[in-house]
Amino acid sequence: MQEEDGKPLLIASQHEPCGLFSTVGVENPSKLQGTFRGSYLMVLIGHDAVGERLVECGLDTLPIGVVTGDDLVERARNNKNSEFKHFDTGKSLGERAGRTVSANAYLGAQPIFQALQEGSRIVITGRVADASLTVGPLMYHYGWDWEDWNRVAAASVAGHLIECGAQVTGGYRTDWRDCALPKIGYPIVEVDEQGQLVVTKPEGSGGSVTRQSVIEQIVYEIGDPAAYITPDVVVDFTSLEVAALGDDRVAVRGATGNPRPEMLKVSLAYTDGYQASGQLLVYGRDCIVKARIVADLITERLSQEGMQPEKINVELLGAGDGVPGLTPPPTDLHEVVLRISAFDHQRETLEAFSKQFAPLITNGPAGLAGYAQGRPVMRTTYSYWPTTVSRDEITSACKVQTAAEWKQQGTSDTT
Amino acid sequence: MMKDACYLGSIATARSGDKGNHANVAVVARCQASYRYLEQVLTAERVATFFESLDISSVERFELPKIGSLNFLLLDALAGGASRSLRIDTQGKLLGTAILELKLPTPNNLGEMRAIDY
Repeated sequence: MQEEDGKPLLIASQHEPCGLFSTVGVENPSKLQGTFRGSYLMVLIGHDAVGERLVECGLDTLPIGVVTGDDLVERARNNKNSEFKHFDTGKSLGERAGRTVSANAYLGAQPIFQALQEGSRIVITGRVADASLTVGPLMYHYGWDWEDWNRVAAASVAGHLIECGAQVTGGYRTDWRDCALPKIGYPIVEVDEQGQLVVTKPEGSGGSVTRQSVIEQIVYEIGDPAAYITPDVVVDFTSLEVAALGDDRVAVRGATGNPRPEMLKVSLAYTDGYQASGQLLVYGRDCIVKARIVADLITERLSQEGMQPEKINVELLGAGDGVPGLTPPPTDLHEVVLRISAFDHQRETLEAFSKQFAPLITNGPAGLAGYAQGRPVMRTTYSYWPTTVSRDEITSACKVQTAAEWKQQGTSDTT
Repeated sequence: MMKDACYLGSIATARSGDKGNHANVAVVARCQASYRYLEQVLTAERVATFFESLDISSVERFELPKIGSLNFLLLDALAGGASRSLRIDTQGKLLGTAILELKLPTPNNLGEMRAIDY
């Protein structure tokens, strides 16, 4: 999806019952502005802004459905009943509750389905599982039973396969050299009424769809493959069979599923101190030793100021630290990037850390470069707290209005 | 050291990603013979030893024989996970490429395993 004259190309669903389904994964909410543009940004800035853009495109009457009910931030902040236990450790949220910045339940596909049934041509939803973006439209199109778990599983597998875009058409592939990456095609998944899938890509596009590219995406970011939990169904990936059909077409069959879970996953984030990372290029045949000395210099000077960050991480990039400890540094290296990162709950400590880099120009060793990048940027650390909530405590709502009505509502909300 | 070793990357591909503070590293055999061999030798223990330096608390292995894949869940592998790790690879994206360097005893039918039979 690209912008053209500042107008996003989000108008594909004007006449045909097709849609654009897209997710935005965010690890640092403060970075949102400016990072995502065009149609992604529209989702982030809200439905009234989408309405406004569509009206600009002359699509005043296009119905937009907005699904809400996922947002639990207020409830998490006032967490009086020790809810929201960490689902790995079982710990209570405790005093972290007050520092919660976001808490969203994964709603699933049913509200999307409802929005489509009520005539929406574009659906903007709060948090759902990525796969639900595909499950909702498929349930709407085929009218499958929500308890036909194998069909819902097939729809979820279809969603899982395309949710990372070109990762199934050659991106991130081990055999990436076999793919033409410059004009990589985004995936198409064809789903028939029996729940059989074919993964392919637009004719003439780059990339490739092979058995290997599809399987690598099936197993991407999964835990127990026999129980891949979504709000809509628990999918069993071990029953899947994959067969290449040729011409960038790969069949995926045999999806099976089990009843959806009673508890919904909640993704919660809270502020948890500050962090910053700085990098310098260290040059010379002694670069590895020198880089370590520079890292020590920084911590030594910090401690002279009475500052000791709670965590410091030193990485020599180019010497094997991408996966720490796996490969020994080479002996004949002539340059290496020193990356030094710090974390502390106190802002002052991180400010002091960030100020250690520039002085190295004049009072550090010879053979350092990279100061022009400026002082390392300090950012708030958000810690992730995966938890659950009972399904019957969540009330999702869906409202469908035309673009013009959303625009109008946006205007009256702000005035 | 193994006298006669082959790299995992010569008979399989891999992909990794994050699940909170855990990482998953999935190994996809290039052919059925390769999968049968990996099922025997690529144990959770071997993978845990290979990634020992990451301070993983444990490794779980899951099998997907129909698609020739083994999924390894590396618990607590990501030094805090995507939002707070101080590492450059906050999400374990490099682990898939890294595991291809794991050395295994050379199987008798290595030639057969390099051929893609799917």
